[in-house]
Amino acid sequence: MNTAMNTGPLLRIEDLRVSFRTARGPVLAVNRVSFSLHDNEVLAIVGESGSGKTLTGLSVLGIEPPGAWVTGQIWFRDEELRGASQRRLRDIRGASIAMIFQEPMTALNPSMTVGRQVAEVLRRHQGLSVQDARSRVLELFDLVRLPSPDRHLHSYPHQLSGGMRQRVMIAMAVACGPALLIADEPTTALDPTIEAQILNLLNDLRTTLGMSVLLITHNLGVVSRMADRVIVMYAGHVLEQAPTAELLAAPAHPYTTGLLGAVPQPGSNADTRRLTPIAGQVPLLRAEPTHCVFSPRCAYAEPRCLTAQPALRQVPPGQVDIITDNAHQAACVLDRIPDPAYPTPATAPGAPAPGAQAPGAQAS
Amino acid sequence: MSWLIARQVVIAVVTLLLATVVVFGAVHALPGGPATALSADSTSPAALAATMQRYGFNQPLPVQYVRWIGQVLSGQLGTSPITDIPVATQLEQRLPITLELGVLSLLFAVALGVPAGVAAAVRPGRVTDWVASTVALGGLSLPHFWFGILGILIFAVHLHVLPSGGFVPLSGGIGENLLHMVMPMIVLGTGLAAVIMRQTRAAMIEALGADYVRTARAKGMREWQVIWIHALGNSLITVITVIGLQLGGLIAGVVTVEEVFNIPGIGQLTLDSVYQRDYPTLQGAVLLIAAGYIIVNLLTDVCYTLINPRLRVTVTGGAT
Amino acid sequence: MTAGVAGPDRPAPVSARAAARIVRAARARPRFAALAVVGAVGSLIVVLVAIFGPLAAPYNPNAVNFNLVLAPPGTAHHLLGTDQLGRDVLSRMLYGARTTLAAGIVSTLLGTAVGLPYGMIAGYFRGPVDMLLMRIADVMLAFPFLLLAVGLAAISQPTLWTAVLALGVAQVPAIARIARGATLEIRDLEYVQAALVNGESDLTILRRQILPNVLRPVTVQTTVAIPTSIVGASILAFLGLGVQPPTADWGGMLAQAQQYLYQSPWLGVFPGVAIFLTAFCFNLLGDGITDALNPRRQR
Repeated sequence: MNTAMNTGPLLRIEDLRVSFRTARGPVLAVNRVSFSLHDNEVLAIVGESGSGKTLTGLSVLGIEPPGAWVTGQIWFRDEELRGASQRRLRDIRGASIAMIFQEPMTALNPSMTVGRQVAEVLRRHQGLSVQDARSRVLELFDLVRLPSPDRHLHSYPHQLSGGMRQRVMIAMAVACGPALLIADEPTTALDPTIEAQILNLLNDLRTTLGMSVLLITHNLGVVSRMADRVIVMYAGHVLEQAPTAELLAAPAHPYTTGLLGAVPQPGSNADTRRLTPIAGQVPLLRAEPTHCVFSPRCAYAEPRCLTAQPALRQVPPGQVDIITDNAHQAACVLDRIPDPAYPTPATAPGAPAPGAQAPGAQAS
Repeated sequence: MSWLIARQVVIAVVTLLLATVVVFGAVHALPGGPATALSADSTSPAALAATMQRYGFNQPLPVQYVRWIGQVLSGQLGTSPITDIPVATQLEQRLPITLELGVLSLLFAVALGVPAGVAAAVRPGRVTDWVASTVALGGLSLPHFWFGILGILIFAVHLHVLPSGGFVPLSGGIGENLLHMVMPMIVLGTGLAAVIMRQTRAAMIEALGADYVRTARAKGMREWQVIWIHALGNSLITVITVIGLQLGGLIAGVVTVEEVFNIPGIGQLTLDSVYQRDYPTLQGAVLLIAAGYIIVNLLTDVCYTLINPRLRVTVTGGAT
Repeated sequence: MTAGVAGPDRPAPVSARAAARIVRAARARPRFAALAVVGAVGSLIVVLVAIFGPLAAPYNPNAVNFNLVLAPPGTAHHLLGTDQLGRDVLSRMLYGARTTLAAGIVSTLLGTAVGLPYGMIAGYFRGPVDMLLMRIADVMLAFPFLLLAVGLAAISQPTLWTAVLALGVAQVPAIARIARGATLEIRDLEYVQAALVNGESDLTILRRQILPNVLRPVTVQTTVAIPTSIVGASILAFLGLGVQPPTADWGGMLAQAQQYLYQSPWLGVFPGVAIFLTAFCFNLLGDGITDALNPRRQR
């Protein structure tokens, strides 16, 4: 699916940590996150709200909210972004790395025409004249399949529908042909039919323009349609990463299993497959975790889960020592998730599980 | 949108008419009756009778009102019993002077207030903000006539760099004209600058935290573009609205400043006519000020309608 | 506004909630809170001076003394000097606090007393009543306080009360507008509708449901309006449209000082400093209260 294992990765995050100072103490929002993204690849970061996935995306561009304390290294090709000057970052943003956001109504300037907002990027990074920029904007509007491009050159955001606004945002983002597009929940605020259109558009664009996409979402359906690889984040930690097909078919972390179990499956037997939401909420970490961050909500938690946050390791274990980016890794002490459809003696009701603790599905 | 503007114009006209009714009523409430007030010689019965005849004070009130409006519209505002100069002439001569003072002060206030507000908003809570905000609060609390007196004391009396008052028309050279306007302009504009600064700051802080500013930065726009085009562009609406609300204070300011610096404008005329009980002039001046005030408010409202893109292309009823 | 104990289904009285908010805001932003405290203390001092100052005045403020005209500050027995009629400046300053402060505060209270019900009625009943009231308010807005004072001065003799009236009337439209806006917001909420359905009279609803919620923004506006009124009162006195000489008043003192600027500049300094500091302290206080009581703090 991806061919770029011979060249270096397009984007490499190493040991990223983001914390905030709040009135009640520090909050560790992103903790020791590392991953790579290659050319022409779509990598999805999946997680619930509060998992730190959006912050990770913002940190790549260096536009995290004020008050955020960021450490770690972010390599874009051969350049380390965290050490780059603001000037250099501004040249990169919008030109080499672009970002689209969740809510296009608020993400677009309400008192500027959409045509001008797109033209702005072109003139900033490519120095186009007003005329050239305008014709280029029309081309871009065509590219993103915006109806009546001429008319909408002079439209304001509030005159467009949600789907059209998102198309404008995409046009703005791909205008200068970036190598990497960061998409933060691009379809969450849209109707399902529009959602499908936008996802198709993104897919086509990435093929046509040869772009990589860092897709941030909580929607596994979106992931299955677009992503080559997936990273699962929880409470600021990476809990699992794998190629998409493998993750969906054979998840190696109980959290992922839970996420998949909570996804409605159309066409399945409604009575045999019940939605199993994961009880509890994503915790807000204030200090380095002394146990697995997911253990309070985990159905399979054991005493050794409470000693430390497990490191990412190869799944299934014992394979080759070389860890490639394509490898399936999970941050769990278990080698295998017991299948809930076939209860083992450990999970049979009434029987005490060998070494299992109670903290199963209690609301936290 | 043009419907909206038409509606605003209609409301302004109605307000103007009501204001004239108020002025009309006030004149008739004057001690001794309007005839006494408006005639040149208020003791001689013959003069009084002539005035009664001329203004038709023996007619029913509505008729008088209509006649009076007719006279006002045709420029007949009477003659000052004190100076014998037609009121309309006085107003005509003095209006440009007051306008020059007002416009210069407004420009000064905007040129000072907007950048200060932006500077404070870009680093909220830091030293720049703290200093600017406190100075602005001081500017708000400053009685401008005292400010003017201090200015005269320092710059005219002690340092001799600026004239202590008076006015030189443009025909006397633009340099002299502006030199006489410097202190009055600063005195009048400071209070307004303070209000503008605070409003700009508040609007900018909100704008800078908005999503579209994050998008602009994500696009790689330069910081000055983010601040001055994206954020400020969205803040101007509130700033203009607030300027409109401050105009009442500006009128009071014009009168006092003209008094302190001895500038022959409408404000000084109004004040003098009160002291001298020169009612025809007073009536004309008050009418002019009220009308001017309503017109400026209308312009502000129209400006707001034109700038707000939501109102520009979609018709929304009841904009206020 | 019902005073009383907070119970399970009865929220704490408005004043207690407001006080709690203020304390919380002060803790969160100590630097600005410090300023507000300075403002509060300063305002309190001025008010005390206005009330008790005249008791401490060494001389009768109107006592003339032609032997000691225009004495500079520091002269024996005259800490701040004397004016052109030999009257003691310090005593006049102490007495002057009264007129300035009284005019500022009373006019604001007057404007609030009228503007609050005005706006509430307009917002509550809406329709033609609202339109009529708002048009009248627009006309009032067309006459800035100065014009009103001028008009009143022309009709009758200018006194402290014409000034107070002019300043008060000038504030009615602004307060009415705020009260109306707050009323409009609350009027359509469910619990008001419920009360209506229960057959409660309009007056009761206005008093018990709407009034407490309108009070907050109106209080904010009132505290902000006081320093403006104080300065406005001094402007009117300065122009001779308010308090008349020989009554001691800061604005009036400044008016007289103009003629003697060359030989006795301090006459033009002291009253102005007093007005400035008073307005400044009230402004600091007003800002502090505004910040604390406004839910969306955009400081």
